[in-house]
Amino acid sequence: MKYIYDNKRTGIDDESVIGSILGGRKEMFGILVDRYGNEVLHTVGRVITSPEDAEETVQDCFVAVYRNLASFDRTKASFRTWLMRIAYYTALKRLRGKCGAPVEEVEWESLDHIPDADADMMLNDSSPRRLSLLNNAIALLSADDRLLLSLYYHDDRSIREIAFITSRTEGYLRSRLQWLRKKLCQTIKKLEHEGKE
Amino acid sequence: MKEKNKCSDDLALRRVIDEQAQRAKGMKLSEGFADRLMQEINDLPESEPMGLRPKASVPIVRKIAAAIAVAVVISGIAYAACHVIFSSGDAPVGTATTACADVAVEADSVVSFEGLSLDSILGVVSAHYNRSVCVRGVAADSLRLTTVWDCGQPLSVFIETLNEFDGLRLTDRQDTIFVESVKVED
Repeated sequence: MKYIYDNKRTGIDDESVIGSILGGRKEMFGILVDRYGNEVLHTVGRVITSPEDAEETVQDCFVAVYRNLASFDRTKASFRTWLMRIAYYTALKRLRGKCGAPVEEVEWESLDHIPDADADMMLNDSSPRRLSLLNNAIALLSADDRLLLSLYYHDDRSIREIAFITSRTEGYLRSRLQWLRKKLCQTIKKLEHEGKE
Repeated sequence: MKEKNKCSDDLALRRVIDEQAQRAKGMKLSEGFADRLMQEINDLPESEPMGLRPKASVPIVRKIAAAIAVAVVISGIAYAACHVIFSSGDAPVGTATTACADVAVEADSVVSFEGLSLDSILGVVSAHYNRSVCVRGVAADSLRLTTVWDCGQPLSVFIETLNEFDGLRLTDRQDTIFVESVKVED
């Protein structure tokens, strides 16, 4: 059987689709896959660079969504945000499985010695050399941190929304973002010192 | 209109992250992805409807067993910590409003410490996060605090909370919670 849906024409909102699925129309789940499949792929693809692995992660994500659909609570978040929460955890789970060790608790080190002004200056310097260093410095961060940065800077999601997606507190996320700015600043300085650009 | 998130502006950082995200946008789901996925969903046992927990595989059973073991250990430590406080004086000087035995029944439970000594609190918390405690210049046994701990949250969150108390400075380094006193300016 082929599952083909033209969402633009059907125009059925997510909640109605979910209601139908929960009512027994399993095939309606294809609408959600069609609607959000590529968006989920683009999110997990930021940390899982192999297209095959990324696609498998999307598949795992949607299976998890299907299995937990009845627990979706629209009063807490939109379906899209809830889906991103599952995508976030599915991607991290896959990465942890790959490296064979949990990376649940990301390391904190004291970066109080780095002035805010240094971080402001470096993270606003768009010279090709600095952009290249920044690219390398981001690559050295944990997957959790890279996803956090992309949710904040690329998707422009609110801290509240990111807190829902990542199951962190808003206070934690604010301090983590400030810490990450300084961490990037420190790494750039180190890379500059080592001449790795 | 949606306002851009700001950590100052961080234009360069934003630009690099946008470029990386654009690379991911080059990915496309392969042809027939939806069909394969729907097939997998159709193949799920009927006993696995939405919202009900899937049948646990062996590794999940092991994880649950490990979680229960951790819960038992933590509740024991919490009970011991509270017991010490309640039995150490003529009258109870502090209470933990959460029933001690309930501390780790729920992984995300919130524990309320009321007037407990700092070392008792840290005894419970450090065991949960598998940390050692190193106290410098603070009478942790006589310092009594009232605070709340969400044991489902990272340790850093609880440390932030404790650092809001005047005169205390806690840091988490090298698997150890360091507790130091800081001078309070008037």
